[in-house]
Amino acid sequence: MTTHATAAAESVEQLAKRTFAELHQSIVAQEAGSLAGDVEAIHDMRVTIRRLRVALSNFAVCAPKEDRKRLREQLENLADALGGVRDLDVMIAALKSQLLNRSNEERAAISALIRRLRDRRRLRLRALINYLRGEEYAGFKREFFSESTSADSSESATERLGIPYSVIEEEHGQAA
Amino acid sequence: MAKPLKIKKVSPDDGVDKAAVRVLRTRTKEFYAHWPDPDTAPTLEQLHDLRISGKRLRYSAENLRELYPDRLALLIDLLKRFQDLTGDIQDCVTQREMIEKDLARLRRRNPHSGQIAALEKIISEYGQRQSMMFAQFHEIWRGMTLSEFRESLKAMTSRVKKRAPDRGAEGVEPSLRLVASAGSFAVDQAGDETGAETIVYVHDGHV
Repeated sequence: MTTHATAAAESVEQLAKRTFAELHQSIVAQEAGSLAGDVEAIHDMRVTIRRLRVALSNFAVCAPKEDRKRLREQLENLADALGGVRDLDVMIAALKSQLLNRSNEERAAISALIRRLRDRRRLRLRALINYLRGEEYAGFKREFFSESTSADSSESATERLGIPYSVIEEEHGQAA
Repeated sequence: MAKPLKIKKVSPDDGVDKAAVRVLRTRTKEFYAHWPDPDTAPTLEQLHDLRISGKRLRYSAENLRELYPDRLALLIDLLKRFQDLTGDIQDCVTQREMIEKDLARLRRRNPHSGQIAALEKIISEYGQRQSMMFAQFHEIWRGMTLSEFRESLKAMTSRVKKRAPDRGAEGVEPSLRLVASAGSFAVDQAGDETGAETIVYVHDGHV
């Protein structure tokens, strides 16, 4: 955990790269849970995407325009795929909580609606899984420090993004 | 959805303290831009933009909180509750729309289904809940748009916290104290400040 003293001594660029790297890592950490359809993992991944989008606009000065544009598009598409499932999770949970204190007819209607929403969730989860197994998400995972830690990488994220994002490299004294 | 305001006059080599002030000032300005006058009725789009800007301000404050030890805790807490309430209102809107679509489909496929009346009742309940939550939120927003509240917010985020001075010494830190009573939205937290406080009591929309 960074202390106040070290945080205050940082430059904007250092704070930006640390923030980007941490949030990127948090997003990727939810991948397995999201692939398994876990409600919390999908929610956490989506929230962290929002945080990264905010960080990208707050520290826009630290990343070239074309990189920001590419990242924004990747994040938007991932957020859409996650949001499709998440909206249904919220709705299903809300409807389940309404089952109590209802007449038999209302309970039957709500249960039937929940079944229809679950069917729809299965389709949307399939779309999310396809996205997470696709090229664009693979590219997203290579952003920031992930690619630069790979031994066979010919071009580091640092070079591609124009700023020394790699926390890992820097911690080992190899940063540009 | 409204785009985030650009953070101006910050360069990569600047110290984070300068950037932090600019980021929070810009995000606060953006937050207040969507529904400036709480006496007018907002559109759904204004409410949506306000909710999104509230998130941007909260996430920015959380990202920068280590530069303002303890000082942003109340703001973050307040924004979390704000987000919960506006999120619940948004959920009502989207869920109601979803049920309406489902109901339309059901009417086409099975016009005599016994589920139709039940779904109509649920839709009407969503409407009532949305109105109730909006009334609650409206009172809170009135409190948050008071000039005293906004001034203390500005003072709180206008500079990062320096090394702690002795108690009673110069350089006292501004803080925010808000007591809002509107349903479940109640905050009462003073923080750890060493000096003067700006105290705003928001009670049913009155200071």
